[in-house]
Amino acid sequence: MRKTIPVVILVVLAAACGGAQKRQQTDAVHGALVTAAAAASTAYDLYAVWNHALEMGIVDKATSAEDGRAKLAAHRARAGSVVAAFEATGEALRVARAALATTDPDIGKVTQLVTEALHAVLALQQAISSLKGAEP
Amino acid sequence: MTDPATILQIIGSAIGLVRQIKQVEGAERAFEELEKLTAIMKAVSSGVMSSLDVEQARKEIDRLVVKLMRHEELQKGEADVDAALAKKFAKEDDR
Repeated sequence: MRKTIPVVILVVLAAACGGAQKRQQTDAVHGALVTAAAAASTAYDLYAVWNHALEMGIVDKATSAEDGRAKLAAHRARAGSVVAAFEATGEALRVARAALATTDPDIGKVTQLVTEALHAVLALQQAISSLKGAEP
Repeated sequence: MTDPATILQIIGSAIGLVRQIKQVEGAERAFEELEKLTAIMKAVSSGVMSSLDVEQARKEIDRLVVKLMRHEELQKGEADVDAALAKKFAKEDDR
């Protein structure tokens, strides 16, 4: 019994240290996920403002209803890649968030999912830049 | 852990976006959203998150996921533009 107590204490301490380390890792992954969400949200709000101004500009310059509709349709077809990128980013954030919310998350798996969400944000920003460059 | 280079790249992009905000008219909403998220990020960077911080972060992410997936603001913006075009050429369409 005397020998087993220190062993039990060591095991409990090791478990506690492991738990603290895992908690820190989980918090860091949470931080990365919030960073990704913040960047995506800001990109969305800015894009909405920019897109509305651009579309109103098309309306101002339209020479007829048909001309306006055609130019708006052409712009919206180009903008489809950005809308798809917003949806892909939302889905990546949702999947990573769900994996992180489990009672004992697999840090390796969650980290991979959060990294995918971060890459989705970069792809989103690239899609917005490409659209801005493609507009006449 | 998550690739630090990727995180730095994202933070750099976020800073770039903040600079852009200052140049975009009517972007008050983006500012408000960013301030809310910055508060959570500060809690994250200050050390171990409290369970309240974690809960708040999760709620914010859930809200943003819905925002990105439904993109209601974009749809509303398009509807406004379509209405403006219809109004501008109302007489033409009547003919």
